[in-house]
Amino acid sequence: MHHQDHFLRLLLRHEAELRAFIGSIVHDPHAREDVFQETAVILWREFSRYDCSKSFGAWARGIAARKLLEQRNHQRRTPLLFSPEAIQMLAEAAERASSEHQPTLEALEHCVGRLPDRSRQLLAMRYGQSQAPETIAEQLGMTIAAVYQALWRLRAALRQCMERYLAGQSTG
Amino acid sequence: MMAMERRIQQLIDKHLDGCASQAELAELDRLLVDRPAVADALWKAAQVDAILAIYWQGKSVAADWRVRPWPADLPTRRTMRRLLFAGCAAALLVAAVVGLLHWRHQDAHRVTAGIVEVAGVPVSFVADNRPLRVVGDQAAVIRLAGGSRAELGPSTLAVVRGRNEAGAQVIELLEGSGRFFVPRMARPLCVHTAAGSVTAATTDFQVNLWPTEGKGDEEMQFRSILVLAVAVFAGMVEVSSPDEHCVLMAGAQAVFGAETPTGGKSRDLATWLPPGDVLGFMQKGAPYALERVFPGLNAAIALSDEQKQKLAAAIDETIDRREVRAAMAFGKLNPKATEEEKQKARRLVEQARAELQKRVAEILTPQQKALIEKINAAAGEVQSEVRKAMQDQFQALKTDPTNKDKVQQEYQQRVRAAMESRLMKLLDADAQAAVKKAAAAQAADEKAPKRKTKGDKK
Repeated sequence: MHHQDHFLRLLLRHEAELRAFIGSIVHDPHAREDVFQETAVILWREFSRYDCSKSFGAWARGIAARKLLEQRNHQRRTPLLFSPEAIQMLAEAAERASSEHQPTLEALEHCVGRLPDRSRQLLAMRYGQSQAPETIAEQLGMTIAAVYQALWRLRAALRQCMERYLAGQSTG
Repeated sequence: MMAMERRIQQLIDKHLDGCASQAELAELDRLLVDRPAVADALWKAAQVDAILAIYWQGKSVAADWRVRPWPADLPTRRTMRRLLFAGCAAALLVAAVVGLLHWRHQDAHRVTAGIVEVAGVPVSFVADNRPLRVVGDQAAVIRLAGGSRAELGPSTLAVVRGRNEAGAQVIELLEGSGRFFVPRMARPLCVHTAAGSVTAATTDFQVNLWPTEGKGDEEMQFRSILVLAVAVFAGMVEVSSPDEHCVLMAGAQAVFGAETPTGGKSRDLATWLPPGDVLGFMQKGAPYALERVFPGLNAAIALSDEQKQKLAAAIDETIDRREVRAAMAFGKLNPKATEEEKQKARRLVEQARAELQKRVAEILTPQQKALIEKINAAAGEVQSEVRKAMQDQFQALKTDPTNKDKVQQEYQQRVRAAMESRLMKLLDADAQAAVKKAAAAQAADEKAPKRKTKGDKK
C-alpha cells in the first residue's frame, strides 16, 4: 500500500476519536477545527516516524496534546482551559476506552432516527449549523436554559442508545 | 454520590457547550486530575459530541465505511467505492496541502456562510488586503486566520488586514456591520473603522458603522454624521475613537461619531456653519440639511461668531450628548428590544431635538428666522416647478430607468439655477457672496475623501 494511502486510511479511521480528544479540551468549534487541521498536517509530516506496531489513535492524540500544550505556552493571553495534568488524564482515558465499543455513525444514525422531529431539529441546528444556544432558543421559542437542558438530555440519551445498539450488534 | 455524579455530568456538558465559567472549569480540571472516572466520562461525552458534529456536518465520508461494506459481488459498486475512496484521499490531500499553506502563511480567511464577493467574484477564501463585500440578504460568516469569527451583515464592505504590531488580527470595516466572536486561544482582534477602532480578546461584540442621514432611518435623519456603534455581549473591548479612549464591558453599548461637530474648541468658527436642519431649513415639512441640495445655503442668514458659538454649544448639550447618540442608535443595536424600551429611547431623542430647536429659536434673530422661512418656501416652489417641467422625463424613467442618472443630474442643475435666481431677489450682495463662498468651501470639503455620507454611498 502506498505511504499516503496508508496514512489516509488511518487518519479517516481515527478522525472521530481525534476530533473527540481535541473537543474534550477545546470547546470553541472553530478553534477545534484549527487544532484538528494543524494536527493532521503534523501527523502527515511525521508519518514516516510512526511505529506501525503501536496505536495510531494514541500517537495522533499524543501529537494533538503536544500541539495544545504548545498553544497553551504561546498564547498566555488566551490560556487553554485545562492543565497539562488534566490533558494527560484525558489522553489516558481515551487509551483505556480504545478497547471498548466506539460510537459509530451507523449507531448514531440508528439512534437519531428514533428521536422526535423537534429533537432532531435541535441537534441539526446545534451541530449542523453550529448555531449558538442563544440563537436556537430564539428560533425555537425556548429559553436558553431550556436549550442547554434539552441538549444535555439528548446527548445522554444518544450515548445510552448507542451503547445499547453496539452491545446488541456485538452479541447478535 | 448521585449528586456528585450529576454535578460532574453537568460540568462536562457545560464545558462541551462552552458555557462553563472559569470557576467551573477549574473545578472540572481538579476533578479530571484527581478522578480517572471523570476523565473517562468526559472522554465518552466528547466522543458523542464529535460524532454528532461529524454526522451533521458530513465531515467524514469514510469514518464508518467499514460498518457498511459494499457487497463484494457488485463490481460497479466496488468501483464506486474505489472512486469514493480515491476521491476522499485526493480531497484530503488537497485539504492537507491547503491546510499546510494556511498554517504557514495564515493569511487566508474562510467564508463559511453567506456570499462574499471580492472584485465582483464570489469567493470561498479571502486573502489579506482585498476589499470584500457581502452580497444578498443574508449575513456572511468568515473564519479569520487568527481563529476569530466575523459575521458580517448584508452589504457590508470590509478588508481583512494582516496582523498589527501587537499581533492582533485586523479587519477594517468600511461600511455596514459585523458581529465578532473572539474565542479563547484565538489571536486578539482589532476592528478598524473610520470612526475608531475596537480591540478585543476572548469576547463577543457587535460593531455597526453607518452614515446617519437617509431615507428609512427616521431616527437619524436630523443629523448627518458617520456613526460607530459598539455593543459588547461577552468579555470586554477597548475602543479608541478620535474623541476618546475607553473600555466597554459585557452588556455595554456606546456610540462614537467620526466627524461629530462636537466640542466648540475644535471648530473654526470663521468657516463653520451649523447643518441646515439645525437652523430650521426644511424639505417637505421636515428638518433637512438643505445645503446638500443648494450648496452654501445656510450661510445666507449671516450668523455672527457669537451666534455660532451659542449654536455649537446647543448642539453639544442636546443631540450630541453621549446618551442621546446612544439612544439614536438604540434601534439598530437592539433589534430585540421591547417597544417600551424603543419608545423610551425615541423620547430621549425627541426631547433633545425639541430642546435644540428651542435654543436655536432663541439664538436666531427674527429677521434670520423670517429669511429661513422665505428660503424654505422658495426652495419648495423651485423644486416643484422644475419637477413639473420635467414631468415627462420622470414619467419615462418608470418604463426605462437607464437615463436615471442623467435625468437626476439635469434636475439638480435646473433646480440650482432656478434657486440662484430666486436668492438674487431674496438676499443682499453680502449674503449672496457668503453663499457663494460657503458653496465653494462645501464643494472642496466634499471632494476631500475623509468621510462617507449618504450622498457618496451608491
